[in-house]
Amino acid sequence: MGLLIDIISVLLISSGLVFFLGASIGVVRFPDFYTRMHAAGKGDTLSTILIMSGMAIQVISDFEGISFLVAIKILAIAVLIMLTSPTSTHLLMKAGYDDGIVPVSNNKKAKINDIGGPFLEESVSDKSEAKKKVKK
Amino acid sequence: MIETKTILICAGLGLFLMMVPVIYRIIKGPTAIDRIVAVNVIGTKTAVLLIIIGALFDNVSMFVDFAIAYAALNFLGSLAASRYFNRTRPAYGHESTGGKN
Repeated sequence: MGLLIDIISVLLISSGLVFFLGASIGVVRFPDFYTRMHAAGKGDTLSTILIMSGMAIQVISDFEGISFLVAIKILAIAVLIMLTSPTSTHLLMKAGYDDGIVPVSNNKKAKINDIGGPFLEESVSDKSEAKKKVKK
Repeated sequence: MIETKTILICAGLGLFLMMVPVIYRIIKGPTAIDRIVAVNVIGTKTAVLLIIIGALFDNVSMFVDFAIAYAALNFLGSLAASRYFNRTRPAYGHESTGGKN
């Protein structure tokens, strides 16, 4: 029984470490603010949930009264992070978009406008205006 | 048979070593929000590391409360930072528009 619990928790913890390795490499290596947010938000959340589950199984293997309470608290942290990490990712992404951070693209017309915000719509409207001028 | 504490030490050490390249993004990051994202990642992982440290010291019931507080404060910090940068737009520098936007 102890060996089985150890194997399950080691599997969970090591898979969480693998996902966090992906997240940290993504945060360092991706070329763009939005892609870095993508790596940080997903890999961080999933690896936290996996490692927390592994630690909860590790703690609950004592079979005492208080260890169940501690395991429930650890799982509560996992649920808290599962709720809050996507929320903060969404809000920071929205803040960056309102700041006018330009994503990496092949469209060289994309630039920061003065007001901030929908720079992509502006470049699209530029293209349609250029087409209209050509037609005229 | 490998002991449980060896596994925990390896997991904590691996977690810490993977937090080191994220510090590069904090120092180098071109925009301010990049730095906040990296700090958010490190804060989340510190809550995990606190639980591993508690299991190493056989005192998880004390450290789990620290981890709860750390995770909640981390979320509040990133929330406040995102609200702040939504108004002042200092993403590419330190100048602000004086709350016009």
